[in-house]
Amino acid sequence: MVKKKTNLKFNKNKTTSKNYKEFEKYVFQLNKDFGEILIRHLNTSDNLREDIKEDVLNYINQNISDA
Amino acid sequence: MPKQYIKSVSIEGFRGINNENNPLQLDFNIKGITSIFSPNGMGKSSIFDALSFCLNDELKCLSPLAHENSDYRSIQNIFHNGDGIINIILQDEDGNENLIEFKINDSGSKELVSTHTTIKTLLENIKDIHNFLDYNAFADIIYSNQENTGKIFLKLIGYESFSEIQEKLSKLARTQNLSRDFNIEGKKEESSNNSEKILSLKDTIFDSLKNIGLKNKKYNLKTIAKSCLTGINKLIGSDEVSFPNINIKLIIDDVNNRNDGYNKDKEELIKYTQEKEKLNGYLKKAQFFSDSKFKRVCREMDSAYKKLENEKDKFLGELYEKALVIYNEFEEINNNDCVLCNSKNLGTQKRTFSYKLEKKINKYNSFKDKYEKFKNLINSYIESSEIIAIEEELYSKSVISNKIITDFYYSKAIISIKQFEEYQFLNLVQEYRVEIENKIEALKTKILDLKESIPDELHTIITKLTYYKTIQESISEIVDLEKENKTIEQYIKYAEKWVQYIITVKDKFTVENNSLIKEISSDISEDTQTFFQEIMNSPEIIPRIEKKDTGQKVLMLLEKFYSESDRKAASILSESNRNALCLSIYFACALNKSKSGFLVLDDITSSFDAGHQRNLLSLIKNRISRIYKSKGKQIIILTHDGELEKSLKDYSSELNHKWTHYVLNKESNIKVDKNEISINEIGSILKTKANNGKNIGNEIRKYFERILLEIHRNLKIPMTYDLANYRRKRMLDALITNLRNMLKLYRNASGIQVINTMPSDSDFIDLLLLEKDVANIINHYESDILSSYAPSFVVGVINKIELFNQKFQYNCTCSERNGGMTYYAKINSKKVKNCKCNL
Repeated sequence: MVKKKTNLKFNKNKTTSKNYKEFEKYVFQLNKDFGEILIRHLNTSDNLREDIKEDVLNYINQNISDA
Repeated sequence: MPKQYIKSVSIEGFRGINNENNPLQLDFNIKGITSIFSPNGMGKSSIFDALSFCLNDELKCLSPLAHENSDYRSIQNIFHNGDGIINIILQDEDGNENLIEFKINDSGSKELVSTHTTIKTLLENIKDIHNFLDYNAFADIIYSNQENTGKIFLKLIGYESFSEIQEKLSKLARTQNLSRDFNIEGKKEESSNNSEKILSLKDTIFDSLKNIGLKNKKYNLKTIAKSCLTGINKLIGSDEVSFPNINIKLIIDDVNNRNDGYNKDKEELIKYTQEKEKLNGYLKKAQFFSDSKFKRVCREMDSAYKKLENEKDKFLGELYEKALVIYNEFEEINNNDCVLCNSKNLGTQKRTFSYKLEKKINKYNSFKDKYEKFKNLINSYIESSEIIAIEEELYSKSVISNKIITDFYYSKAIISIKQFEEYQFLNLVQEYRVEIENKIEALKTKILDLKESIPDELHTIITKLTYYKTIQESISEIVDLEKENKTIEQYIKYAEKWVQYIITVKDKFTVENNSLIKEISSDISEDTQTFFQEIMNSPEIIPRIEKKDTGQKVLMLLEKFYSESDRKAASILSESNRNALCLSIYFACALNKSKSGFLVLDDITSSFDAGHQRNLLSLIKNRISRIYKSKGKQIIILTHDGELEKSLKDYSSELNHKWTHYVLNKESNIKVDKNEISINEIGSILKTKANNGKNIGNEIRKYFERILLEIHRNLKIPMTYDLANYRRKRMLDALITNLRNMLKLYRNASGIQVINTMPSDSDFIDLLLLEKDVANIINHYESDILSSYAPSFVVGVINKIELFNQKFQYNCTCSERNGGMTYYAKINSKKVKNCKCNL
């Protein structure tokens, strides 16, 4: 099966929330794990950089220990 | 969710509306437009606030006080007993109705009476930035700087959140932040140091193998371990099976115990040998701080310092940053002028304050980056070399590093390679090396002496075992370091993957978002141009909305301003043009980007003259409302403008079921009359007011004007366009003169006969004098002097106006009665052939 090319394209005729869904789809397609971390904090976190850093480092450590 | 329209509102005890037990009830026209005229202080804004507070959670009446302690209690009518009550009926496009009841308590809190979740969901969904527009709501869109303009515009098109996401992604993907957060460079350096240590340990292993007499051409830990295991087993006749697990110290102790006589010498020999090995290790580690690394540190430091021209810049750097933040609040009028320092005509060199400031800040930032690099580099070198930690009494590494960094920051003393050399840091290292080497030499002599006192065989066994021990320790250390490097490699792999990921996401989002906003801006710009033209009717002015490539910046430009092009709208347009532009943008956004069913507009026509007000109303009617467009909005217009009200009334009667018009009256207890007070009643109301000493100057003028206009209408007397549309305070004399001239014309026209009861020319001269009396009364009241006009005088003026009006109150009995024709008839006209009027 040919893997679908990851791409992001906003459509001016769609609503903001539909375009946002496109963005979510894109970041998950690009990398599911990183996408989850990014989306989890993007709209809710007060301390975005710190929170994302913590989650990414946890993810890295988890993967290193699994390896 | 289907579109919602406001069907009706009932208000009691809110803001300026008391109406205890008799709420103000308004039914809105959901098929088109509802216009509400109300003189000042009659509750127009209270209606706006009630709807806005309940449906959008906004209370514009208190927003100017937001920075103070807003007293929300004041939103309840202070003369009303009990809670304020606001009931709103919404009707959706399928005809379903929902009653939403609110209570406003003593503290000004709003309480939704219905607790049903569908009502709450409905209220949540109905909120929309476009729902309510008051006079100044979006004025900032062209008055602000590009950043704020962008924010307001993005809010209006519903993409504010995308701009925030773009900003957040940019921060996340900033190289500096990524480098600080994930320290990939530091990890690479760490890995490289480990590799160097491994190489050194391998050398130690090869040296030890050589000393034992074992040959190894290739470095292979397994082979080495196997050879060592065989060697030990042969040497002491043991049958150990695993080299890494052999306790060599125990074996050495065992060998020693079997040869008690040389114990002291052997112990000393072991001690000196160990010390010598340790010192050899230190010597090797000291080599890490090589000349090339030293030069690299110097280069970094040198280039960092060269970024600054003079000493004060580095201390002022932070101040510049703060200054820029403040400066960003200002907007330069153009590239030639600087608002902050008032410099004018700076020419094309862009020597503005902000330009200079940014240049310095960039320089400072570059310095900071380089400085940070240098600091990290020197710390990592000192850390990896460990030369200073070993001999704490001589050189504490933290003291040394701090001293280097502090000296670098505050003085020029060590900023060049030459000066850095003068700091003698390398000399310290060199001295340390010499000292170690001397100690090693001394130990060698001692070792040789001891070896002579110990039998060769014993000495050989112990020496070889000691080398095996060194090999064993080195192998163990190499295994640990390799394991550590593997972990670091994994870390770098994942961290780089994240860095690549977040940069890709940021880049893609930025490109797509900018292109999206540009497309939307272009669409909105097109509609804005159309709407602006319809309001202002000035083809020489064409506005344009332009989205900048990065960030939130949006420009409000004039694509064309007479012979000029691409000028900033705010600095050139007149107030009415600016307001027309704001409204055009608002309407374009509301039509294109809002799912809301209604727009409530409060006093949006204030800055326009009568002609442009008509244009605006026409735009709202034809393009924005639902009257002619299925996708249009339900419109509620609130106004205090008496002149506009006449147009509203006209539209209301013309569009009957699609346009409802209300007049709010009565000062203290607002009620709504759909029908205006009859003109015949006004005279007696005014007389009562005059007798009670009330200020009615303006009301008399309006009364007089209304009578004159009615006469014009009834008699179908033609009026010039300006007279009909540009009615100002002093128009009475123009109306009287128009009426006088027209009657004079009819009287003198050969084919027309005018009814006998009509006023004569001398009556008009009296009427013009009467107009002066009215003007005097108005001026007198406006001057705020105690009235010298007795009520009887004011009543006399009203009587004279009524007397004049009576001269036109002829009640025609003709069967062909046709307004006006009975007052002045065309002789021989068929229509008036049987006219019984006394012409």
